[in-house]
Amino acid sequence: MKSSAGLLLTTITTLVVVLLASCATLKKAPDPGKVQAQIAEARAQELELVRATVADPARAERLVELLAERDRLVEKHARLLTAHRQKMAVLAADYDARREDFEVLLADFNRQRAAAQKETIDLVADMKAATTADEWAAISKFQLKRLAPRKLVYGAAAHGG
Amino acid sequence: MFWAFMYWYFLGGGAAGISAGALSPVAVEELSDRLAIVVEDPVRADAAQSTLADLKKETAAFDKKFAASGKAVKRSYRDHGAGRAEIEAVLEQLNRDWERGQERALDLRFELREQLTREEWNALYSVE
Repeated sequence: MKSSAGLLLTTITTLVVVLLASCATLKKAPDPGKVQAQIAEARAQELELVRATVADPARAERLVELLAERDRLVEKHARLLTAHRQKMAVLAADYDARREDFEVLLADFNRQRAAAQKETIDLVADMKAATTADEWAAISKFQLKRLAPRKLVYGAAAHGG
Repeated sequence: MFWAFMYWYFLGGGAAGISAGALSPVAVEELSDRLAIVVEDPVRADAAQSTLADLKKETAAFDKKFAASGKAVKRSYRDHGAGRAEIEAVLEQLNRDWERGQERALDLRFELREQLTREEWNALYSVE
């Protein structure tokens, strides 16, 4: 049986792979095994960076906790998104599907997304509050560079997210 | 993974997010290729391709708005001093664009459906 951390990584990898596969400029789905290894490596490096960058150990541990909370949040919404995509695919293929069927599904998805936005804004505010401006500059730079889905697949050759 | 989350769920997923993956520009191109095989009547095939061309324009236009929002959110994320109001304003606008995009994508989906027979529609999706 997989550990919860392993399951979380698998879920997140699935999300990244599925979503990258529907990118406007990407025609071939990335290799899930490769992406999973890159995500695991980036997450380990992120923890090292936090512990090396945040001067106060108590604040560093608070940030580590927030990163774990972030991962739980990502996993929760990755599951919702995957389920939603499956429902949309079924509906899109159904010749008899009514507009109201789509509207109900999309309204539900929009509500979930609004909740995700709020939770993420709160989380980002907490992460900033746990760091100084200089610490956050180093950590956010790493996150935006190394944890971007396209970068995870293409490395430095990727053009934006 | 954090940015993956922000990019695709928090922000909505670009044009693919209009229908949660069903209508990315690549998906529309694939539909167009399959439609060329499935619909034999040239008049209806042209009309359906025209609808798909509109859909592709729509998804490409939304992708541009989405990319601009993504840049604004990144700036706010990076800025330690940026408060929640800044990011909320960007997302409010994006959410409005996103919902308009959903409406338009639905209009075009049903326009396309009216142009095809049940058999053609089923053939169009059976190869997925």
